[in-house]
Amino acid sequence: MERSKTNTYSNLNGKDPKEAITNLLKKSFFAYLCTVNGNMPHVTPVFFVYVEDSNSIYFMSSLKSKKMKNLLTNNRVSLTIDVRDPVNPFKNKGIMIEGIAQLVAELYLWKPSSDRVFLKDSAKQVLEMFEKKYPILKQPELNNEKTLELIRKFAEVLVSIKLKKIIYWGGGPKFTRVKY
Amino acid sequence: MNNEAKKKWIYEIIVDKVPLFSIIPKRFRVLFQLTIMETVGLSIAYYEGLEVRSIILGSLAILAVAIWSQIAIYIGPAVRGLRNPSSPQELNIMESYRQYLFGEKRYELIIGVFIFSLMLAYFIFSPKEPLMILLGKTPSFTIVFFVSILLWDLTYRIGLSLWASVASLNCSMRLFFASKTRFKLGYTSYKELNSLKFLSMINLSFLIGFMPLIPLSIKDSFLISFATMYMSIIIFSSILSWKFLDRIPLYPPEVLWLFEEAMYAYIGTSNKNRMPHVTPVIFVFDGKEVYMATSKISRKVANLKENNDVALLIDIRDPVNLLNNRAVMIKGKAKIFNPFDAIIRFWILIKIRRLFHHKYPHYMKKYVEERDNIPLAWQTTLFVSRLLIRIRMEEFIYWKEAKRIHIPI
Repeated sequence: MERSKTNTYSNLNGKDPKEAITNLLKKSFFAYLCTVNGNMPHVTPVFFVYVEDSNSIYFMSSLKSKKMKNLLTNNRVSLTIDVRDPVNPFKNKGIMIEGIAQLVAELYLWKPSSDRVFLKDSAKQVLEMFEKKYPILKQPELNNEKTLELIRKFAEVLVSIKLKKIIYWGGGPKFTRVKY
Repeated sequence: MNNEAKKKWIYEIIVDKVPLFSIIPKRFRVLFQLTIMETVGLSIAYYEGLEVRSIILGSLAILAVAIWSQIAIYIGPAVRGLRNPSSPQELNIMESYRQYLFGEKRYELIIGVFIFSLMLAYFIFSPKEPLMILLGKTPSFTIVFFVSILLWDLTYRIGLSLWASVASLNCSMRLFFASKTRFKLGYTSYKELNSLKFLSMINLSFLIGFMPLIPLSIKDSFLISFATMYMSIIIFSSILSWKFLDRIPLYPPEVLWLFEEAMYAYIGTSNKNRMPHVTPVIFVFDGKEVYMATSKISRKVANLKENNDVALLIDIRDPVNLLNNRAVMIKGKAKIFNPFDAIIRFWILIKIRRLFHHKYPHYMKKYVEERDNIPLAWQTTLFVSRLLIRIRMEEFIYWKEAKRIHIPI
């Protein structure tokens, strides 16, 4: 990490990309997750939260989804989180992440929070972060039947992604590589 | 599938029912038929003392019958095996196509009988060389009978091939016009369209069946003009049928809308070590395939050179209601255009350039303005800085409101 600092930070005119990266990780609502099945890539949008302490991203998925099947055979993933400028391509910014996925817990988000006793504290915290970031997930009993059905479907398992490498672009066509 | 669609060609029914044929594996049936006909033909020729010339021409005619039979035996199950379109209008067209081919009306038989009578009348009223060679100098009843059967076999298959080609053209044309009034998720799966395209090309192979007959008809102007007409109908209807099918959109309208509306896509690639990589791209869609111009030195180009399997996600998000979004992911093969492709298909480059300028006018303007400030690798000059990539879809998945919508593909 120290090494990468010296040769990449200069690209950003002395500005620290760490802040921009953390900002993207905390404020973006969607990440595009790429998994691989054999040789065939698979891309899906996911809701996610970023936990700074463990430097991990968490997402939820249905257990039967294609991405979960892919992860069981190959746990390496790539993620893109970006912000687009509709007028100037040089104002686009984003990050491309490479990481390792790991199954954290099976969870049933639609159940009231009192039912979460079986979860580890860390998982509970992640869940709370999810509910804070995506209010639609909070207190699902208040949502309509259709939304509830959806949440049930895509919130069966919690998966973490340990960030291994981040490539950042922004403020012009420059790339900055940050290794963790 | 209803009963009508299960019906077969008369030839297939005969082959299925006749005891000797029905016990032979399907792929050897035509060979078996060829052997039987040739054996009978040769024995007749031997007993009647026919010339070598007659034997050769007769054998060629038998070969023609065998070739046509093989094609007919291939097309029948292929057409019956087509899956149904999800658009009701296109489903009707497909049903009526099957009805035309295998229905009770037996159109191909009518055409066959017509051609048979025409030929018979022609040979009776104007006995000329080809027939005389086949019959020999003093035709016996056996020879006449065998030659008549051979003539019927030929004309029935000529009728069948003509009917198959014309019916396929009719189906393709109607599917093409029906595809303009598709609704929501109704469409004909691109796999079925590909099968139909392939069948159009198979119809062209009926021409091969005519090849052995050329020596028979070469000296007769009536037969030559008949052959020319036959070949033109087959060629014209097969190619036109292919052209119509080629213009039918590969996606249902609701999914097509995404291709037209979405500004950005995410392209997922993987290298030979199966390490995934996903990045945002701008893209254009020409109605069938997705094109993008990406930097020559990018990871995705390096990955695609190792493994051309690619996944592309195109989505539209609602910033207010996060669950209200639509996305389509296409999986397929990427092709990187090299300078040689660009020369032989320069019109594609012109078309793609026009599409990019139309879809991203601001971006294109900025790229020109900033030309001197950006590194070479991000300039837009094709082949110097960027490579044109085309993605051909093999499979797609559609999501609406965070839910996967099942569309038969």
